Amino acid sequence: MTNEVRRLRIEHSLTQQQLAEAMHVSRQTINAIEAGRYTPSLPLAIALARYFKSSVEEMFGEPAEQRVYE
Amino acid sequence: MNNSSSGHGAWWQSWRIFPAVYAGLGLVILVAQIKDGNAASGLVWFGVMAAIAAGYAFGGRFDLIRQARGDLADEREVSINTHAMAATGTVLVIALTLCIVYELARGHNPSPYSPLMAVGGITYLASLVISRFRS
Repeated sequence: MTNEVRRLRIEHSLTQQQLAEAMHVSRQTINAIEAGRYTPSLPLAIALARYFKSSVEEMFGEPAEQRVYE
Repeated sequence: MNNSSSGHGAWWQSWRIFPAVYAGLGLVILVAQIKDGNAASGLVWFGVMAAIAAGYAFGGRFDLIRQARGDLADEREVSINTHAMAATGTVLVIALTLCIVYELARGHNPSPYSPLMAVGGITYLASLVISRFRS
């Protein structure tokens, strides 16, 4: 799962540790989210989106052409 | 998001319960072995259990030990812990099933494996019912 967390974090000049402390999670969790190894819970995804003044769709949404609706 | 059990919560949810339980079990084994006339064996067992207790108590700087004692830092560690427990349960069910089949094939009573399997099955069903009721 691709996301914009790494790009936004770097844009805001934050380290993974600083973002982790702001989100009350471990640095490893931020790393795993950025690498796409871990999908955050909805509350954490919303908290990340609010922190970066973005939306969950913008941060974690797939490009429209990749979406598959069943 | 933060599910750490290191600070708040009831005492039985604290990671400190792990070293206490292992140390307590070590003492129980020591007393039982001394009563049975095997003091040396009891001391060995107590040493092993005390070492595990000390590992849990003082190994918190290592992520693996911290997670193993239930001192979970956040939702990702809770998820990892849930998967690890599910894998453990699956392996135990497979092992118990093999033991029951083996004992039956030898013409023996499958106890104590069959009661353990029953406890596992009842626990699973109860967890399903409670989880569905609560969610």
